This record gives sequence, structure tokens and C-alpha cells, in this order.
Amino acid sequence: MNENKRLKRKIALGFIAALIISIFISFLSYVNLIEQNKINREIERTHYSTRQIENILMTVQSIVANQRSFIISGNESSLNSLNENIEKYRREIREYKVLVGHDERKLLMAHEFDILVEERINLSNNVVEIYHTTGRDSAVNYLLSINGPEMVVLINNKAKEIRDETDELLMHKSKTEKERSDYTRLAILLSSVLILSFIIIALVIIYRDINIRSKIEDALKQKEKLFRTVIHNFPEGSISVFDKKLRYLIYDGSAIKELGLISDQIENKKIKSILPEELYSTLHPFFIDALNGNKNSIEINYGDKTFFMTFLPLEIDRKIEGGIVITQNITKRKIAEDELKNSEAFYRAITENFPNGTISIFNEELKLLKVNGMLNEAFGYSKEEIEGKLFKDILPDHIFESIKDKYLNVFKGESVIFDQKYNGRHFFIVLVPMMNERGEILNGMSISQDVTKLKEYEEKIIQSRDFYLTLFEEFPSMIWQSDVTGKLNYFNKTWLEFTGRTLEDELDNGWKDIIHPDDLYRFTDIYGSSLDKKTPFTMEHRMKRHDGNYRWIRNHGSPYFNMEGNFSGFIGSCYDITASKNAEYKQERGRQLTTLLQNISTAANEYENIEKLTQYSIDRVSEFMKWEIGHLLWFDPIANELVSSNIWNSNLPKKYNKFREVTETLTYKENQGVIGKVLKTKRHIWMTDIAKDQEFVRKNEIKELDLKTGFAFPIKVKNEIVSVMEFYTQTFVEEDKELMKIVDSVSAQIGRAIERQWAQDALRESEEKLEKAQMIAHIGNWIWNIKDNSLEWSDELYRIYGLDHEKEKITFDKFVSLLHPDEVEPINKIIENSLENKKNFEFDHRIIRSDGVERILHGQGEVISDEKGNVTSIVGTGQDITEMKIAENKLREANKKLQEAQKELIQSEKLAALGRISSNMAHEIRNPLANIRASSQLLLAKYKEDNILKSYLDIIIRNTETANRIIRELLDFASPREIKLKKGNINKVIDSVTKLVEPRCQQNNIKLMIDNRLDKEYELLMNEKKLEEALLNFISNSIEAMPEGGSLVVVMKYDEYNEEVVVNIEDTGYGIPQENLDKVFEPFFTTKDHGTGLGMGLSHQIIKSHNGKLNINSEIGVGTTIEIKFPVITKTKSNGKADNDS
Amino acid sequence: MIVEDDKDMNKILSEIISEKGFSVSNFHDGNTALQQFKKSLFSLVILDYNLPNMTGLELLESIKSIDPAVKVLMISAHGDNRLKDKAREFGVKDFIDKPFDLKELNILIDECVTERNSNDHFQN
Repeated sequence: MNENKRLKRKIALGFIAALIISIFISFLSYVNLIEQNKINREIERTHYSTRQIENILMTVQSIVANQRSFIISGNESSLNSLNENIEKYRREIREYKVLVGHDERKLLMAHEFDILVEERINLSNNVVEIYHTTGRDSAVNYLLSINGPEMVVLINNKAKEIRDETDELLMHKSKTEKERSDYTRLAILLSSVLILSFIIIALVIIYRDINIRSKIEDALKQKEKLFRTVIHNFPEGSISVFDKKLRYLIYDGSAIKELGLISDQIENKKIKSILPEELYSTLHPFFIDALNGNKNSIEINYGDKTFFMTFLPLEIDRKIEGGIVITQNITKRKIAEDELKNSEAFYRAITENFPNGTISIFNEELKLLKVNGMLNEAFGYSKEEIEGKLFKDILPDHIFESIKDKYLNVFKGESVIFDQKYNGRHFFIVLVPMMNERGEILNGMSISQDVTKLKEYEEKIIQSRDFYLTLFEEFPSMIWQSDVTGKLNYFNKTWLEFTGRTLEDELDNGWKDIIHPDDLYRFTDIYGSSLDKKTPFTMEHRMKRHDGNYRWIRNHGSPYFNMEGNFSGFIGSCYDITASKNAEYKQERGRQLTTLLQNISTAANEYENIEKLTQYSIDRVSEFMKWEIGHLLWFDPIANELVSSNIWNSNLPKKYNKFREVTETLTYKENQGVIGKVLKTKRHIWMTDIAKDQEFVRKNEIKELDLKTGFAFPIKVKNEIVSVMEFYTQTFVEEDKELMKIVDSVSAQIGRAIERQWAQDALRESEEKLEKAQMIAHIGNWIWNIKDNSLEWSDELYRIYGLDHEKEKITFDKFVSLLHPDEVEPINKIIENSLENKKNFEFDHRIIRSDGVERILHGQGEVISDEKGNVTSIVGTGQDITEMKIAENKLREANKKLQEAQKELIQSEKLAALGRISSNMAHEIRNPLANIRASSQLLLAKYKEDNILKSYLDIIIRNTETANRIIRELLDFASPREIKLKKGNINKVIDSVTKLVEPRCQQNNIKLMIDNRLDKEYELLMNEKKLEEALLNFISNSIEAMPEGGSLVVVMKYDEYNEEVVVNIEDTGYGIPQENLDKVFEPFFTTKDHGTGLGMGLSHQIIKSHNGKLNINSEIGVGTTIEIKFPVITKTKSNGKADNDS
Repeated sequence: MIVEDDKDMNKILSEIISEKGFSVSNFHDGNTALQQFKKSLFSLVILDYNLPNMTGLELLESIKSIDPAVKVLMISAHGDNRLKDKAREFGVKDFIDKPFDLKELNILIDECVTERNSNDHFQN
């Protein structure tokens, strides 16, 4: 600015000087010119007077001539001419005298000339007079007497004298005039050269000045741009720069909007016009203070926010040209303070182990309060020796004096950094004020570091620092700088505070250590390409903070150019954006998860092929997770295990091929590994450390591949697992709950797709079946026109009804006549209902074909209406389903038989096993039983007389018999011996049984009746003894069911339809509960206190070996009926002779 | 001769026979019994079906082949009819199911002794 003015002033002065000189020269030239004009005019006059003299001389000569001619000729005209010329002469000489009036010398000469001429005129006049008076001769004589020509010569001489005089003057005059004009020309030339050269110089100066200025401005603009970029991104606050006139030059930063301001509207405006009056008056002293070169700060409340404002002087060329205001929104300072507390322990550890130096705390008296670190090495004092001492007493005087002020400045709020040599070592000392929450300075902290080795670095850096770097050093965000090659060679204080590292740590690519490994490649890639193109970049990456936590950093790098406009490197600024990043990350991840789900949902709806869908899903999930392994397994419901599919994440790296091979050869049961646990729980399972799972089937493989974390989730159809997807990675990953939620939805989507696919397959199958069935089945169709009651049948339908199409045309009445009589009424109702409600119908019905054969038909009808809604016709189909029905029934029956057979098979299998066990057991038990019994009998024989002994031995013997009976029954039941059957009479068996039980019935007050309804005797194949045993068993049970008495009826009858003899044993006992009915034949089932639970089973077996059927109907409190049916081999004639005997 | 691996039963049977005034040789397995049978003459052999080394049936067959006239009573806990049929084929006098009635056994033993004596008499 000053330079500019000075320049302008210089240029202006130059111009003025040049102007004055040229004016002066012009004036001189002008004066010269006037003089020259005068001279010229004089010269002209002289010329004129000379010419006048010539004229006068001529006139004089004319007078002489005239006088002469008059004398000679006497001519009067000559005399007139003479007089005229005299007159002329006198006028001319008078004029001449006026002309030269100012020249006395010329005037004198003119007078003398005039006297001469007048004399001559007088002479002439005398001659004329004489001529007139005395005549011509006298005149001639007179003339001759006077010396006329001599006089003329005199006159001529006189004229010549005048002329010469004039010439001389003229010569002199013109000579002067020439000199003068030479000088003028020279002066003009000089002044022109002068002006021209000045103008050239001025132009050169101006040009040069403009050129330099534009370069400076460009460089400044670059810096400003860079600076602006940095401050525009300044988080939670703003930065402004103002000039001496308290005008904002720059005002920017993220918090600017919070203040309700817009950057463009503020810049170049007076602060006073921008800030609210009250605020301005508060801040005004601080602005002024900054302009006075002081650093200051204030905390102000504005709106609901609190800002911390720092005022710094802005020095340019060591002169204060303005100030910088850094405004920080410290509303969130609490959070920061909390974080600080967390890192306190860390700081403590650092201070205790501070390498190559000391950390000390001192107060305003410059007394050391606390000292840590490797003090001894540096100062040769022990901690105890100097704590509590004054600096003055410890340090040599000259050193104390040189550093005293620096230490005191700390208490003015300044941070001081300086170098100090001491004991031949180089120390880098940082002094910082220690403030409380209110910003009051309590003590000072001194960090001294032995940097003798680092000095080299330090110097390099100091060299490269300029105004901006000074600013950057103070800047509350992290700043880095690189050289032309892109190598990072500067990191500001904030950076080093953030990373907790030293400058030495960060240099020589040391900073790469703290970039998150996952981000480093991306970072170097982006930075590298920005470096190539010299374009700015912004990227977000994680960087390790001093406490070891990775924080998200927004890193903005811009190229910067030196004064010559050459690329000089990059300047970067970093902000901790973890808080917003977390939210952003979550949001972004949420978005990605949604996309994942959307993609898979879309695929689930679009993909027709399950394998393709599952492949796609596995790929998407693997891709999303960036996990190495993704794989699908199918569930085998029969083996209840998972079987590998060949569906893997299609980007599976080659090194996993072996894992894949092994995986595909194995199967996985419940609980085995992650997938086994999914199978068990039917839920997704996440296992952060799969190596810990003892049941992991592929233990060796996961160890080999160093797989750490895995998760798997089921795909279910109707809540049954059909498939499991598994994913593994080589890093430990905490359970991703968000993902798991999505995974459940993904699973549901795929499950739905599979279910749909299955349904489609089933549908397709059934459609195909239907088509085939229609081809095979004979379906005929019909149309019944309501208006004319006409019926049209297809050929097929005629065939079904056994009518000949050629011979007979079907009518509605004919149709009705062909229906089975029982069907007429229902079908009429169906048709009526259909016509009334315009409803389609469907029904099965029987017909009697014209050849008398009964068939079953399935009929369908559809009601057709006209535009008015009136039913015009019914169309439909008729299908002969007789065969189907028969087959169906047969199938049903076969099924039933199969089920029964199966049941029996199971029973007999059970029995076979039981038989094997019991025959072994029987032998083992019978041996000791034999011993007991034989011994007892021997005893009994010996001590016949001892009655007491006898009674006990009897008990023993009886019980061995009972035990043996149980064994026998068990053996009989378990391994039934083949019963030999022969023809026999049931009546006989019944008779002998009733005789056996009669006494017991009487004893128990039971009325026994035999109800024989058989019209004759029927021969059955039987084993009388066994049958007796069985019937006795049933009847005994009935008797036991009626301890209070009742009635027992044995009914015998003949079922003609099935050709069976039926024996019913009916009692009025307790009855058997419904739930026990099925169990009564099971071995060992008993409700009796002393029963073996084998009797009923054994009896059942006996009945079955007679090809008989047994049914039990029972009602609690009413009684039980046992129904036994025996097939009759022959109908015996009344004479008792069997048919088949013949 | 009594061939019975169950020591208790062996003792009981010995008691019964000795009480009748006959001398008794006790064996617990088929082989030893057979060896002894080859050396000495026995009137009556009571043997158990279940024996170590060989079954009662095998022993029966061997004994009968050596001395077809010897009377043999077979005792078994199995009560299997097929077994009984087989034993009869080999010439067993009778078959007794365990646990047996002492009286029944006594009768059978007596029958055997009587028959044997009459045979001897006939032979003599």
C-alpha cells in the first residue's frame, strides 16, 4: 500500500518536474521568438527603407533627367514631370524619414541626403527660371556653370552610404537572428528528449511495478485461497482477519452460520456495522489490543452458545497490519474435558517417562514446584535437590537472566518455545501456561527436551516457516505440509498434540504408522494422484490418537505455489470428525444394509432359480462384509445334518480351495461348529472366536487359514431349516447386531423364495398330472339350453352313459332317467339352486348305464347369462370316476392293511427281542428255582413231623411254582410256539370254560349266562386247549372286574355277511378307561396288583393264531364287551357233516 | 453219575440218589464225565442240558453210543419241546423241567433203577 503511494508520488513528482522544465523551455523559446520577430520586422523595414532609398534615388535621377530634357527640348510636359517628381521626391523622403525616424544615424544621413537633393532641386528650379527669364542659352550656360553632375554623384554616394549602412545592419541583424533560432531549436530538442526519457522511465517503472505487484498478488491470492480453505473447514468456530481500520478482510468457518452471518456479506465491511452493538462494545478493546500487538482471549455467550475468542495481532513485514480472531464454539467443551480426563493417565505416564528431558511446573515467583523426567542426566541435579527451589538459585546468572522474561511471559498467557544451550547440550524448551477451567493461569509448565540430535531437523523446519506456518502452528486444527516431492516435512503443534508423537516420529514417513492400516493404501493412492495432478483432495480416514484410539479425520490437502508460481508442495488440514463420522458411518452403513436387503429382496422376487438366488445372496453378503468366505449348506432332514452345497462366494480366494474341498466332503450335525449351532437353535449365530469352539468340525482347516470370526444363519421354510449360510473372516469382528437383524430379513426373503419355488414346482407337477389325468380320464362335456330345454352332449359323454350317439339323441328327460333313483332329487335341487343364484356347481353322482351297470360320475356346471343377466344356458363336464373311486377305496383299504401290518410287525419285532431275552432269563432263573424247590422238598421229607416248618416250606414250594408259571407265560408270549389247529366246535369250548368259572361266579355273586344264538353248529379251526386258555383268561378278567357282583353274558352268534362266528363276553364291571384300551394287549400292562400283564396279550395271540379278530368296547361304570370273531371254514349242515369233507 | 454244572443242584441230586443207597459220581462238565464214563460202568446218568464244553445232548449221544443200555434222565431249565424230541431220539429215559417236583424225580429214578435191574436180569 505504502509502496504504491510512494511510487505514485515519485511518478507524479517526475511528471511535475518534467512539466516545469518544458514550460520554462517553451517560455524561453517564446521570448526568443518575439525577439526574432522584432528583428525580422527590422530587417524587413531595413529592406524596405533600402528599397525606398533606391526609389528616391530613382526619383532624383528622374528630376535630373526631367530638368535636362526640359532644357534640351523646352518641353513644358518635361517641366510638369520635373515638378511632379520633385513633389514625389519630397513625399518619399518625408516617408523615408518617418521610416527611419527611430534611427538617428539614418535620419541624419537622410537629412544630409535631402540637403543635397534640395540643393540640386534648387539648381534645377534656378535653371528653369533662367530658362524662362533669359532663355535657353542662359539656362544652359548657367547649367554649365554649376557643377550639376558632381552634385548628382554626391547624391548617389550619399544614397550608397545609406544603403551600405542598411546592409551592414541587415547583416548584423540576420546574424543575430540565426543564432537565436539555433538556440531555440536546441532548447526544444533538449526539453523533448528530457520529457520523452522521463516518460520512458516512468513507463518502465510503472510496468515493472505492476508486474511485481501482480505476482505478489497472485501469490497472496494463492495463500489466501489456501488459508481460506483451511479456515472454511474450521470446525465448530470461525476465523476472521481484520485490518487496522477495523474492517473484516476475511471471515469464514463452520460456525459462521450459527452467528447468523454470511461470509460474503461481511468481508470488507466495518466490524462495527456487522456485530451487534452490545457485542461490539464488549469486543472492541480486544480488537484494539490485537492491533497493539497483544494476544488476548475472551469467552462470550452469544445466543445459547458459548464462544471462545482468541485475538491475535497480524504482522506483515514486522508491522502490525491488522488482527486475527479465532472464534471457537466451546459449548461442547464439556465433552472435550471428559476426554481430557480420560487421557490424563496417559499424560501422566508420558511425563513420568518423558524421554531425553524434563517436565517441570513452576509458579510466578519462578520457583520449581514439581519436577519429573530424566532430570539428573540433563542438569546434574536430583529431583529432591531442586524441587521447591528458585530458578535463580539453580541456574547460572547469565542463563537465568536470558530466560527469565520468557518464563514470566507464560503468566501473561503466552506459550513460549525456545532453544537453550546448557552444559554443552541443546535443549528445546516449551513453556506453556496451565489454566483452570475459567482460563486463569495457575502455574507454568516447562517441557525441556534434549534435542542436540534433533537440532538439524529443527533448523530445517525453522527455515521453512513463514507467516502462515506461524499461524498454522497456533492453529487449533492439525496442519501438515509436504515438499515438492510430496514428502511430509511439517506437522503443527496441534497435530503432534493429537498424535502424542514428536516431530521426529512423524518425519520420514513416520506418520504412516498412525494411519489406520485399512485406510493407508487408499490414503497414499488418493494423495499420490493428487500430487501428480497438483489438485486439492479431501478424504476421510482413521488416524491413531495419542490414547491409542483411532479417530476419523477429514483431511483436506491443497497444493501451494511459491512466489514464482511454482508448485512447492501440499498443505493439509485435518479435523477430527469422529462424532459426526460415527453418526454418518451408522447412517451410511444403515443405507448400505438397506441396499443389501433391497438387492436380495429384489433378487428373491425375480430369480426363478434358487441356486442363483442363494449364490447372489452369498456374494452380496460377502461383498458387504468384505469377508473372505461365504458358503451355503443344505439341510438333509432324513439324516438330520447339513450337507455342503457347491455354492460359495464366487470371489473366494484360491488359498481357500482346500478349505472348500474339505468342507464339501463333510457333513455337519447339530451343535457342530457355527452351522451346527444354527441347526440346533434355528437362529443366526455369531462367533467372534471360532477357534474356541471345541466342536468345530474343520478345526485344522480354520487354524491353517487363520480364520477368526464367523457367523451363519438359517433359511427356513415354514419354520423348518432348509439351508444354512456361513461366512468367515480372518480378523476378529464383534457381532454386528444391525447386520444380524438384516440377515434375519434376508433369510426370510430367501426362505419365502424357496417356499414359492417349491409351491411353483408342486403346482407345475399337479398341473402336469391333471393334464395327463384328463388325457387318460374320459371327460365329456355338455350344454343345456334353458330356453328350449335342449341338451347337447359330446361323444365322450354318450360313451360314458353307454348310449349310441347315432341311434339316440339325448334329452333332459332321458338324462334324468339314466340317473340312479337316489340321485334324482339331489340333482334337481342343485340345478334349481344354480339357476336361482346363478351359481356354478360341482357334484359326484351315480348313474345307471343303459346296460344296467352303475357308474360314479363327477359333474361340473357353469351358468351362462345374457347381457340382461338372465340365465341362458348351463355348460359343464361329466367325468366317469368309478375306476378312480374304486382305486381310491382299494388304496384306502390297502393303506389301512399296511398300517395294521406295520403295527403288527413292530409288535412282533418287539416280541422277538423280548423272546430272546426271556428264554435266556428263564433258564437263568429256573436253575436257582429248581435248587430252591428241590432243597425245600428234601427238607420237607426229612422233617415231616414239624408242622410249622412244613407250612413255611409249602409257601416256598408254592412260590417257586408261581415264579415258574410267570416264566412260562412270558416264554409262551414272547416266543409263541406254533399252535396246531384242527377242526373243532366252539360250543364245546365255551361249555368247558363256563363249567370252570361257574364256582367263582357263584362265589362273587355274578350271574353267568350263555346266550347261544347260533342256528347250527359251525366248524372252526382251533386248538381247543389254547382257545380254552384264552377264553378263560377273558372271563377271569371280567369276573375280577366285578368284585361286587354283576352279570356276565357270553353271546354266540353268526355273522352271515362276513361268515364269522362271533363270541361276545359282556360284563357289568368297572370298564376300561379309553386311554388304556389300546394298551391292554401290550405285555406287562396291568392294572391288577398281582398280574403279570401278559395274560391279555397271550390270549390275543391265541385268538390271532386262530385267524380270529378281537375288539374291546368299554365304558367306565357300565362295563366291557369283548368281541371275538372266528372265521368259519365251512357251513356245517344241520346233520353236522361238513361240506368240504366231500 | 450226575453231570450238573450247578453245584447246588449237583449236591441235591447226590443226596437223593445216595439216600436210595446207590453210589454216586459227581461231574461238573461233559468232558470229564465222558472220560469217566468210558472207564467205569454206570447204571443211571442224570445230566443237565446246559453244560460247559459240550451240551447235554452231545454228551447223551456219546454216552448212548458207548453204552446204549444206560438209563439217562435229562434235566433242563429250557423246557423246549424240540430239545426234548431230540433227546428222545438219542434214547433219553425222560426229560425233567426245572424246577421239578422231587416226587416226580424220585419216581423216574425208581423207574430207571427197576428197568435197569430187569434188563440186567434179562441179560444175565
